Amino acid sequence: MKHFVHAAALLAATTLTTQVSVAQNAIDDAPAMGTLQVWIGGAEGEKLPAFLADFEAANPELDVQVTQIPSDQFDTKLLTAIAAGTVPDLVRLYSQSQSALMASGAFAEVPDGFVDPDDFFTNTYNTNVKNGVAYGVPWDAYATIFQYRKDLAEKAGVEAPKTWEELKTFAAAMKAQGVEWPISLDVGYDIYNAQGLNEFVHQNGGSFVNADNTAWTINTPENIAALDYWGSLISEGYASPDGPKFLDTVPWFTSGQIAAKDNGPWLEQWLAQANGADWVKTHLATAEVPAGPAGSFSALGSGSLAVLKDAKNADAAWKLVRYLTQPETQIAWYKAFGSLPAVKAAWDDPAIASNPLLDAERKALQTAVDIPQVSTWPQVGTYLGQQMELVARGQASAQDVLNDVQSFAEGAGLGN
Amino acid sequence: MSKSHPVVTATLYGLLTTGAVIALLPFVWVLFGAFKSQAEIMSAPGAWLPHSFANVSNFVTLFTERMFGRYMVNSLIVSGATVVTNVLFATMAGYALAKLEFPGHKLVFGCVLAAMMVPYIALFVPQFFIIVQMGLVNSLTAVVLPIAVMPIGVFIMRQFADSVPDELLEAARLDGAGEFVIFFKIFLPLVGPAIATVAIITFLNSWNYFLWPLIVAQNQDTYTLPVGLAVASQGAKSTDYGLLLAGAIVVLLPVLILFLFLQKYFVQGIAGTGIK
Repeated sequence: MKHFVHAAALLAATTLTTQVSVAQNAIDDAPAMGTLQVWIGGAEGEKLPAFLADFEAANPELDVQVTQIPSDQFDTKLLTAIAAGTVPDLVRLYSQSQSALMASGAFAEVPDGFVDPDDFFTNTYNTNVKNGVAYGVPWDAYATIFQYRKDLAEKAGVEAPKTWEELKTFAAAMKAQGVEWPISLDVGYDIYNAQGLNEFVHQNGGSFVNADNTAWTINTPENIAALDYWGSLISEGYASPDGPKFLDTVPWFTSGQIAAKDNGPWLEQWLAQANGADWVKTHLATAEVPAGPAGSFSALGSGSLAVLKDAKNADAAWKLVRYLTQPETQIAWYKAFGSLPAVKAAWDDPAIASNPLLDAERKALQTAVDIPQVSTWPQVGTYLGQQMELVARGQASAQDVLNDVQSFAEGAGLGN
Repeated sequence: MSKSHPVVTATLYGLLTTGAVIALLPFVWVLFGAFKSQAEIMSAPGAWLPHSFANVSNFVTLFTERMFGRYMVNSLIVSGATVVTNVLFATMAGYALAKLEFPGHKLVFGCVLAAMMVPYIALFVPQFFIIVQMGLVNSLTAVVLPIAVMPIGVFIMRQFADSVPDELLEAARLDGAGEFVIFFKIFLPLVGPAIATVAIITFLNSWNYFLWPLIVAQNQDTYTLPVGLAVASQGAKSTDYGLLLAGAIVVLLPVLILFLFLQKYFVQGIAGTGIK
């Protein structure tokens, strides 16, 4: 009898424990309550409060407080809050710094079964995964695409280049038509240069880190050849080492001083702002970035939603994440703000499907490559971007530069 | 001073005018840019003149949609409180360090100098921990507290206090005046220029204060102007440059007005101690 009682008690305890852990993982459908603190960098924070009217109507007992943080200081503010224990419930992270932030261990695991990874573009979802565990859910996604002056291309009798070789043919034909710098490369010589080189490196079958992110592989032959090719676009006169910089991209593109650029989908919006939607229709076309020997890979950018481990209202946070990642909400957000959906199903909506300029974007997102998911990438990427200027100006070979950056990266470590 | 040759004078004035124009050009561009729409800036970023100086929509947007009124009030409270606390405590500290003999006063002054040499970036995390423990997060009090007494203010006041003749204070002591009476009735009226210098320096420091108010704030109601400007100018997929430039003008105006009225003290402050 005593054994029976013990066994019964043990069974009851086990059942209870299982129920508790399920309860912790399962996010129910009951309305969220209390106060929900959301921190967002960038302009989204300004638009989001009004956008959440429907969500708040469905959760009348919930008060969502969105705080807009200056993008450049977002990581500093969040890390300070993590250190001091004054975190919000939910944050939006950028893929560029996501890995470094997630290394802090301050984020809650995505509950089991909360989302289906297959609903998202694979690489976008993987930016949230560390050691096999997801700590965030993708909210928006973009990939760089080849954007060019279709009117000038028609005049020159060329189509969008599909390979590295064709890119130079395209550039030569444009140059013959009087375009001063047919190709526009990043010339800030900062971390974005390194992110751009990451495209070329993957197109050539290389990578800055090995498959399991345990070693830097910056000075491999594939990467050296990729940087050589990037440098040849400048040395052969197809791209300028000095511009366009900063705000000059739109006027240079408009005037025909440049004719093509790998850029995010916002270039279309910039051009429409400056020249009107009709100008965009008649002058702009997009294509996948030209493929190297290993294929066409563009640079991935994305934003994810992550709940803090110490969140006071994790339940409401996850419910808001669920709401924001529904296909219909993703489309509504695209219409309200212009951020492209991370959920694949949302791309079938006419709002996106009917825009031919986004066809290349959809294809690019299938294969776009992220920056190395290691915590020290900000330092290493910045240094690499700086050193790329030596190649651009013919002051050092690709091999010497990448050997130097490899040493720097090994000194910095991986930080994981 | 001997009279300069007219040619020399004319050359000097010419050089100074050229320098002033070169220094002012970026400000003029910012001012003109504040009247431009985003489309104008995107299509011709290098252009000088806006389409119309009547286009004040950037300024209107800042105050009607981007909480700039709130941020302005917060900044004025923070800067006002900082000036008052710094003037009061730095003056007292300067007086004590220069005119009172007490054990370890040289060590205390050494600590003040050392505090000036510590980069702020090394301090803000422990400072934030302290503020959290005090339960002051998300308050303007927390913004003011770490700069309520700035070492630079104490240093300036101490240097000024040195120049006040000891005889005046001794005479007052012989007449039976207490230390507080001497401080308020004799010392303070003699260090007016130093007080103005400390007030200007602390106002400028607190007005331009960025990282700390951002760290302390947990929502936008406690943002100050520089932080507010950083968020207000974030547009969809690009910076809203019109708002940024208009906001820069708004942030700059109080400083400009202050400088115009008190530039004599401002220059003294820059020069170091401003004595004689």
